Amino acid sequence: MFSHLICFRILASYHHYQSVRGTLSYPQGDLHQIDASGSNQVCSTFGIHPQLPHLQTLYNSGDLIFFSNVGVLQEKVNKNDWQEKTKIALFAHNFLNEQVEKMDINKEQTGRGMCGRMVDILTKYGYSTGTVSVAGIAEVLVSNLSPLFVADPFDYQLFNPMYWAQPLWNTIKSLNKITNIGSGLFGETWSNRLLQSIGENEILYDVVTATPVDTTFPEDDLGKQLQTIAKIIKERSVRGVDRDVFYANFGAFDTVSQFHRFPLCWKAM
Amino acid sequence: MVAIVHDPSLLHSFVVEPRVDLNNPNFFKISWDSEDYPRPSTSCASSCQVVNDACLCDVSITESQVFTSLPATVDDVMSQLHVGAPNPEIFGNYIQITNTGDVEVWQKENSGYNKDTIFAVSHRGKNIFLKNILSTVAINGAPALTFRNPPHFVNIAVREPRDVVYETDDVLETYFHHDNLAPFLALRLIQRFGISNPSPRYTETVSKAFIHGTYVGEGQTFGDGRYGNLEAMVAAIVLDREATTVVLDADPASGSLKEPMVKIISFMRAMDFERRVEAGDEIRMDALQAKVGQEAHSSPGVFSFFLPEYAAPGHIKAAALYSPEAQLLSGPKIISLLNGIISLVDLGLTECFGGFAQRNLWQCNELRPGGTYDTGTDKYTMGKLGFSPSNPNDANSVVDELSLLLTAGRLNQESRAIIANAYSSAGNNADGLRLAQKLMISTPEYQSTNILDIKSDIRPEVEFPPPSTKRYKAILYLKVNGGMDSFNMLVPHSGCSGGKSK
Repeated sequence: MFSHLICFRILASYHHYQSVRGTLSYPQGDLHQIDASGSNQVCSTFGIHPQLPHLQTLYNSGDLIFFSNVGVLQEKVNKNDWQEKTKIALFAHNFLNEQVEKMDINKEQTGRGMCGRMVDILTKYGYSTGTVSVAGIAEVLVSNLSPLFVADPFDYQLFNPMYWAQPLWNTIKSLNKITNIGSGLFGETWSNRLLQSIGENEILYDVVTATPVDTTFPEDDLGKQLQTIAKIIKERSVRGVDRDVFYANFGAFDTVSQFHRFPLCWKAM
Repeated sequence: MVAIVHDPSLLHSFVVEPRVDLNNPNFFKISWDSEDYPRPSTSCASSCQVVNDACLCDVSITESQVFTSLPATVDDVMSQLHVGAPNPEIFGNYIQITNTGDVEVWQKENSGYNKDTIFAVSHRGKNIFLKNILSTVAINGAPALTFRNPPHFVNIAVREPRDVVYETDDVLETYFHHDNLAPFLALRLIQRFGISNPSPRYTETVSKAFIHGTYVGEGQTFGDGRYGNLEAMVAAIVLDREATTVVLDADPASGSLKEPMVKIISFMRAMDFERRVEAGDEIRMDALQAKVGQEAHSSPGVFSFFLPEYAAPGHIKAAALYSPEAQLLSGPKIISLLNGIISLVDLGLTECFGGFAQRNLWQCNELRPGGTYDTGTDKYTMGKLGFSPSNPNDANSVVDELSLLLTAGRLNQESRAIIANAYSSAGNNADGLRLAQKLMISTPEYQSTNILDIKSDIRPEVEFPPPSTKRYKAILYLKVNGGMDSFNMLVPHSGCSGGKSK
């Protein structure tokens, strides 16, 4: 079920890597080797970071693929001309975070995300598609044809939960009708999101809070997210979908040399 | 890029500090005076050696003066002199020979313009003293290969915390005086004051108030004239014509969505929230960051709660506008915000049924009608809404009053009629008021600063097709978020061809 997609830039040889990285390079013997012969890359063998042995296992079993030369550069640059020839601020975490989900440096997609574009194509071919995030608004899932659903793995609430409370839904619908051209766009954005939110809440609340799953997930951040996704997949028939894209987010990899959070990733997956 | 290497190989008793030995990896950028600098690909210069794919050269350093006569402008001084100096008055042997008002020239013992000359300039309200010195590095044996020696705070051999503090101070000074700072802050602060897409003119006006430290509006002068004065900046934001012209409310692109804390606090203030004295000295709300996406002292990271350049998909994005607060309009956060306010209206401030308060009651179901908690008193809350309308028997008057307090009177006529009808049909005035308050917070007028022009059509609800007969497939996009060192993730190992061998 999981497809692994990792992007990177290739250096031309181990010695080249070693001279470029200097004291930050890893000894050749510590790397996990993978066979890339037949891949048309510059090396027949590549080495994976010493703390990521799972990637070697997944690669060897045919479940993982590396994509080279994918990213936000629109042409080859060097250290003298990169500033004028790159469209995206290469060292700004906010812009790179956005681009890694949109993959649209030329801004041709009016906000659609990478997976959102896939979903639009699948929808045109007759598939019944869904996009669901368990980690807030996700740029990667924004599409034209499939509204973004968001579920909260931690404290998901049912709308207007007191059973004795005054009913609101029908009146709220008539307070948030379709707007005319010339009506305020921020208010329109609210009404649009509100109707979507209450509608998806009716469906997803029961799924997220009441669906049993057999697999035991870790009680950590990512474990909860993946468990929620498992429930939504199990109850996919209520949404009538046959193609879904899910979004989860596992953060705090904020040190350049740190890979120690990866074991938590493997555990949850 | 160069690195400093000391190689006193003739003097065997010396031990070279590792920070400046042949393996010194601390390269820094310099700007060569000509394109013809030593390169290993062309065997460096005749007096250098090629070592480890780099040029190792002996150098000599000479010092000379930059200006030989009075510089024309402050910018000339600032752009050409890079080494600071103490205030020359403390030496006792410096004489001020010129003061143009912009540039003061101080010469040592009246010796003319030389490398000891000190210039004093005022830059954005700060007095700066700069030494008239040019330090040049030249390759020995190749006097044409030169670059300007860059200033350096920290002694390479003997590193002192003091020098690091000075360097950090200077970095902060550089940011504070950077040309981008004023417009950067102007955009962000204007957005917090309710306008997501300020015009370039507005941004410029606010930036200039920050730079000049003064703003004149409403017949008054704001600010003390110093660079960075926030009084002047905020006055420029709130008194500018783009903030005060009422007709702009009718522009569909003007205004903003409200941020979650503003929605909660403005509702509590407008509806006369009264803290129950026995509940403690302060109102305690809990986990608002998780519930509604915003909380005091709880920013999720350096980029705060939402991004200034976030654009919601749909009309906002298509119109090339920004709507920062829309980044928090996910289903769960919208539901949590509405539930929190519904709970506040019905129960007072508690933690129950999505209430915003810190946990206190534990048995929320006892708040049900007939439960053991008596909701007729405020004993079980941290406080309640105290608002009572001026004319509770007149539904239209109640709704007009709520519209004035909660939407600055922007609520459209049809929605007023719908809420007035709900008020009248609720059974009694108290229930009517609770229902009207809950409905008010769901309106686009409350959630944004816009005027709405609505059609008669209800929006289509979320609908699902019947279960599909096709085989199911899914993609999981797991974002491993943060600063990953991708150059150490997958590296060349062996069997490489076609690239650099070294």
